[in-house]
Amino acid sequence: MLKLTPEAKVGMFVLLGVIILVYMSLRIGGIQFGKGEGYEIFVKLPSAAGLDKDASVRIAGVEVGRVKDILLEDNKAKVIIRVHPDVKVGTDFVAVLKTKGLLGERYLELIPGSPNASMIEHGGEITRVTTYTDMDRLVGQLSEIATDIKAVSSSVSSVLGGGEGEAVLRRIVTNIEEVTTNLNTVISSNDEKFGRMLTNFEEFSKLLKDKSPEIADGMKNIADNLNQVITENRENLKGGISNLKSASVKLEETMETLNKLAKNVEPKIDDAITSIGGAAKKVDDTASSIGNVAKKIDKGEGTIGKLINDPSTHDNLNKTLTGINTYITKADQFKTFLGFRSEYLFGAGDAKSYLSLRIQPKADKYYLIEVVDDPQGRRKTKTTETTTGGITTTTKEVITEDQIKFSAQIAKRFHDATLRGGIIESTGGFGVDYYLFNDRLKLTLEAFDFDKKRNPRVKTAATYNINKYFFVTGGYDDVISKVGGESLFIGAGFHFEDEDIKYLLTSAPIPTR
Amino acid sequence: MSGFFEYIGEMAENAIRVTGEIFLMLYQSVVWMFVPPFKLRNLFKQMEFVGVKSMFVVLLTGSFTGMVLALQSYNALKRFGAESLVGPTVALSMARELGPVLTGLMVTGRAGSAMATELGTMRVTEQIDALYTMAVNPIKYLVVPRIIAGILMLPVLTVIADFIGVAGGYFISVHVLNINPGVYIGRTIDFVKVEDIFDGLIKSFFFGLILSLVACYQGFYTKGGAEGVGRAATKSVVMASVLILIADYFLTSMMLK
Repeated sequence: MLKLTPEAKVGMFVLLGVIILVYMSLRIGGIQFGKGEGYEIFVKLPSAAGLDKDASVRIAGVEVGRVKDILLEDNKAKVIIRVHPDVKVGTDFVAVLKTKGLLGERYLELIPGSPNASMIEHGGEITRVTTYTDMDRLVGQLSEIATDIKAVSSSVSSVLGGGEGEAVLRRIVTNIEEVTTNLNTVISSNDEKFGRMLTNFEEFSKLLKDKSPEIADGMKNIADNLNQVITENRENLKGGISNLKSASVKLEETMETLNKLAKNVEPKIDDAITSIGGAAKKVDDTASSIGNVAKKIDKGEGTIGKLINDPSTHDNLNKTLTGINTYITKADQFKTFLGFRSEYLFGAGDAKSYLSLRIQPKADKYYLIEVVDDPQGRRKTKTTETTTGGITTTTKEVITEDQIKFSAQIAKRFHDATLRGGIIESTGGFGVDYYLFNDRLKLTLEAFDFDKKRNPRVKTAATYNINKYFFVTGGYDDVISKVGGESLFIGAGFHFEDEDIKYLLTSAPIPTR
Repeated sequence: MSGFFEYIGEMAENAIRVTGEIFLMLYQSVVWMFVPPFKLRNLFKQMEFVGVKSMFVVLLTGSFTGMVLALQSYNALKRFGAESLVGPTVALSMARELGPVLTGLMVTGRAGSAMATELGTMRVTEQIDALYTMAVNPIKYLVVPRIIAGILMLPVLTVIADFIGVAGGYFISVHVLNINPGVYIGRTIDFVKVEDIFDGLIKSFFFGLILSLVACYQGFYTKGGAEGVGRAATKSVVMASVLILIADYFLTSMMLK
């Protein structure tokens, strides 16, 4: 085992202690603000009782700063706050003094206002302050109420209590006593008068009884007089009555005419009523038939009813809409690019040209169709036998011929890399594109023409997009060639999005999933 | 009768003399501390003895103290439904009080007594006198490294004791008393401040000074052979422990001001 020197042991020991100390300090300290960090704002509170220096300032419960200092200004507590630089405090923020738990420490909560409000700068003030009823205030208010009650009760007691109050009370009681006594006296002293009143009443009724025959006589006289008056005016009365009679006859005639009139009118009214009745019935019928239709629709009878009531209608509609949606989205995503590029091959001393159509149904997937004019397209080994003077020499010669080739590839993009494969230059092959700098630079590696006699044709290239349309390219073609096809190349080209081809392709039916 | 007064007088004189001698030794140590050559090897040996070798004892006392604190405070706080405050209680007690004091006492018992015995033996076997004759200052050679070791190692031990105490309290609270671990740690972080830990470390710094100084003093002035050496060890432990507790009171009252 390794023998440790005392120095090493002490070193390790001290290191352990320091690590633990730093760990604990960091855990406990949490967000510690340096002296110069953040900005200072202040708020004036009616009371900062319980708030200490370094107490936390929170927004939505998250600590965003510390109380830097508490001063007294205009008999209010001016609390200076240092706020974390990343935190913006709006002018409509409301400051509230809060307590953590029932017995916890005090802290300052800032309640956010509208997000559009302007921000408070360094040295600014939070003008809005709310005071919550905390325990202190509650106790204070209760004691105020108690004081009021005490004042009332003491004034009552000062009125009623003491010698004066007692005297007043006694006077009141004495007065009441006197009043009742007086009442009593009044009643008792008038006892006699009441008695006399009753006696008088009795006498009056007796008198009435005694004098009643006389009164009856008087009445008879009055009736006689009346009779006499009537007799004297008999003629006048008769005339009046006959007048009344003739009036009543005329009234009768009028009534008869009216009756006739009514009779004439009656059938017409009848008709009118009948026709109104018919109309009402028709309205009724209509209503009931509408009702029936509605009922039928409700029950699901008939075409409309089925349409409305059949859940499949809804589903179908939904599906249709979804389908239309996908179609539109597809059409929207769908892009076609036409491009042309030409590469000059230093090895062959000739240019190779590509005409390409890129059909991109989705952002991460495309089909690439290319027509390639390759000067090194076909390599043939030509054997020529020449017999000169009996000696036959066989010369082998590699001939490269110009050839038109086709590529058809399918490509799929994963993040920055695109894998593609299919037919490359009329042979099977695959390739990888790697995109850098927001797709401006493309690194390509592709391999095709897997031939046993010669190595596959491997092509490396870097393509840089100058702008949306033009690009330059360069690289090394046929890297591991056995037949001397290696060649450096540079080239340039352009490509553009073609809307016409796109609509041609998308207007053809596309199956939805 | 006069014997009684004589006794009291002797005691008073003795107390004053001891105080003076201790402060003189402190003064000399401080002076010699800055006089070269510095024998670091000697210092590291003492640091290893005081610090590294006391770690196991401190770990044991710290962890069990934290655990028992958790049990006791849970028992008390449960009555108010304030079980969540067990964490802060344990952490604050450990950091502010029990960490430094218990570490001080344990190191006194372990290292202080050993220092007194060592120096006492050297005194009674006249090795200290031999140092004088070799023109080696025994204060510089023997006392200074011990005092520095005490001063430097006690805070480190205290940090370890604090940590292991809080860990022990956490273990008991979470696994035995079923307090929510998040609440335990959250409350602890809410209530405990970094100053609490550093206050404890300042205390432990003084405790380290007290225990090493007292032990060196008792050993350095040992009289009376083997018996005297034993007495010196006992005296050093008793005196250092009492002084640590007294100093703890005054340091706390000063810190809480």
